[in-house]
Amino acid sequence: MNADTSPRELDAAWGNVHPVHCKNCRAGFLIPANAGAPVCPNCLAARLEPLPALEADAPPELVIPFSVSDATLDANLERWRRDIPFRSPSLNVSALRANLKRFFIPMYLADASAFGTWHAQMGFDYLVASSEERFDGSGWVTQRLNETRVRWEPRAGELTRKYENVSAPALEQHARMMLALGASNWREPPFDTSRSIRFSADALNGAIVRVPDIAPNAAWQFARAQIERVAARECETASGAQHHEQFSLRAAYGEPHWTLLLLPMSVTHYIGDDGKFIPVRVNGQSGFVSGIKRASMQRARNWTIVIALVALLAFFLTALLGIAGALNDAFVIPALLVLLATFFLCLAAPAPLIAAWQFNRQNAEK
Amino acid sequence: MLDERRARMSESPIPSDFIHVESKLDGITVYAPASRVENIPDARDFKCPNCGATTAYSPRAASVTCSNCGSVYAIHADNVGRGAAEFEFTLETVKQAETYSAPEVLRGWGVTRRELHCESCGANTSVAPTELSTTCPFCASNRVAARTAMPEIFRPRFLIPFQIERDACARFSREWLKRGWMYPSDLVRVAYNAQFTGIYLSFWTFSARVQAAWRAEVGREKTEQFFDMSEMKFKTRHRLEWKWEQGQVALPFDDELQTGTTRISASLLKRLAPYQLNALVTYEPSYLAGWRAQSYEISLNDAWDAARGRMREIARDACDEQIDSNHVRNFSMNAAFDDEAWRLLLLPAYLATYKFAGKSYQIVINGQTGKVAGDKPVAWTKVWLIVGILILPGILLAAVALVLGALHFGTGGWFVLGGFLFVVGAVIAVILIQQAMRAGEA
Repeated sequence: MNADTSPRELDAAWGNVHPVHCKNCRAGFLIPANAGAPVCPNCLAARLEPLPALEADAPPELVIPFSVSDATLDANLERWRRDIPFRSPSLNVSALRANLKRFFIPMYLADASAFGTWHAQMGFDYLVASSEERFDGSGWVTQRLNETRVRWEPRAGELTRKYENVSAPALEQHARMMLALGASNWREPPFDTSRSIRFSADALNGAIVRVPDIAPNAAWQFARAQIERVAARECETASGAQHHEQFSLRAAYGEPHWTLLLLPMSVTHYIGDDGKFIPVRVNGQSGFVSGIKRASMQRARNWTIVIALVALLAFFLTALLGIAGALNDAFVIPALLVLLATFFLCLAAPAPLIAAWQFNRQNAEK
Repeated sequence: MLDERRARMSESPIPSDFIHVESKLDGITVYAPASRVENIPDARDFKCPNCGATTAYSPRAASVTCSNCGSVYAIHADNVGRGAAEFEFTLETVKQAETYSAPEVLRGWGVTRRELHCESCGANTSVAPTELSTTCPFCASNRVAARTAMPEIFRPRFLIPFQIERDACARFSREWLKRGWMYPSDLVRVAYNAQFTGIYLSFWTFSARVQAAWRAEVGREKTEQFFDMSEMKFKTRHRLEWKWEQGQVALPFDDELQTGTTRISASLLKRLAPYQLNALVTYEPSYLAGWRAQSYEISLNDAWDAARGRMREIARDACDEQIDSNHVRNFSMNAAFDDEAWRLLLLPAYLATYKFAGKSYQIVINGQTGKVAGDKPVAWTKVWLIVGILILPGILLAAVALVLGALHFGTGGWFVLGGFLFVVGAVIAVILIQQAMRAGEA
């Protein structure tokens, strides 16, 4: 990033955007000048309000463009919503697509050279011969087996390496967002950074940009931790080992360089029973969909009421058939059958409420 | 600035006992601990530093002693007991064991015999690769070869030192020879001259965990009542009800001894057991000074096959015990071995051979406990005499009763008594004969 760029050059680089922020979640954004006052794509709880000054003064260097096709997006949204019982009326693919808003979130890529000494316990796989014996009455049959075991040995050494494009968070919410966008480990962003392109105002294509809330200096500790993790794996490779533990690195770092990268992300929502927006996030590159899955207790309750009413009707019918049965034996068996049906309907009536409650409990936001 | 930091970083040293090893990545150097090579010379002579005479290990002093000037030299070995290191069956170990399992290799034939050079008189003695120690035939110097022609991994690392003096062997063997009545009377006198040789024999120990799962059809007797139409009444009958049953057994095996020598029968060595493995010490050539020692002749793989076969039979017995019925069919089981480990040990024994009536018999004495095992000739004339004494009264009584019966004397009772005595005598005679047959091997 170049901090010596003039304000005019910055404006030209960013294009026609102006800074806004959300008073609810305090997230800062850059939105196209003609975007009006959209709802905050981060919390979906307030509208974005203009800010007097641009907080992120230097434009990013790289951007990963949106690359999810409509068909993939529809399929992923459908797959995501499919297992939600008693879905709210707004939880359908067309409504989710209609509410979809594209925006970019920032992330740093750090380059640095490292020089130092390392120590670790390295694990080396080796094979041992074992066996399994089978007796089936006619005699023993031996089956030879090879088992892989790990031998741990101490190793040490010196390291002089250059590390490039080490990811570091530019947002406080980075870890949560990476997990929401499909990362199994928040330190490994779920994006193919090799498909990034140089930033230009056109690359934004009218999307909102989230402004970093962590400065590069503050992000260094994360970058360094990431470098140490990469270095540990490299030392493992250098040792010819397959595992490592207790890795420690005493290193000096030089020639640091920071790159700001924009990651594509979409957010949409559906409306909960309480009228609030429930966000659904989509990875703009892979199409991975995540969000809180919530069954509509209102719809479940409606189903419960319907079943209960049918049960009530069945009960009255039982009573009528019962009275008729007292006069004529032909009505006794139908009365008993309807009584049985009433009994099962009574049992089934609370089932929708219980199922919805159980589902919401299992999928509650951690 | 970076250079300063680099200089500071380089102050944190790599541990001094680490050596540089190959790195598979540019920009990263790798250091590993220097391997601890035990500084054991290939061969060592035992001479008294005081008077120059030959020294030998003495069980009484538990040290190397000089019989000439009486000097005593302590042996520095660790008492490791059952905690002695065990080795895994790595593929490399198994492969090496296969390479060194050919009988001609194990017996030293077909490979170069090792020459041990005597520092004392300069003579070269040719010995088989399995011999770990020798006494110079020219000057009687004791020489111990710490390494054999086998790979390093199969070098003996632990042993139990001799605790029984050679002088005590005659007493132990005499007591053992005297035991029992069915042996020749002059056996003790003839065998008394047997010369005992102290020798360290190779044994393998094996440890493993066996998880066995069995499945079988088990028959259980059921008693039921039924109505017999022909007799028009209820009756009781028994029938077997077969059901599939299954179970699991987990058995730990620890330090299962398996002989490594072919020169002495396995049954004889088995009767020498137990050895108290708590007395295991780390290998130190001094313990072998003046004693014979033999490396293994049965390879690791063959010994492990035998030990594993024994373990799986024990596991099968344990599975059998879980079945509380005598009616079992379609029994099958799986025994999975885990945590297999082995050791090579040298255990002390005294060997002697004596001749009786032109035939050779072997006596082995446990060099740690003094337990005796061996072969003894059976005086079959004594045995048959006793057998005759046992069965004759019955026959005679029955015969007399038969004759008197023929002469119309009422001797039916006597005949029955004679028959009874005969049967009792015959049963005891059979037991005695079996004992005698076993005693011939005991």
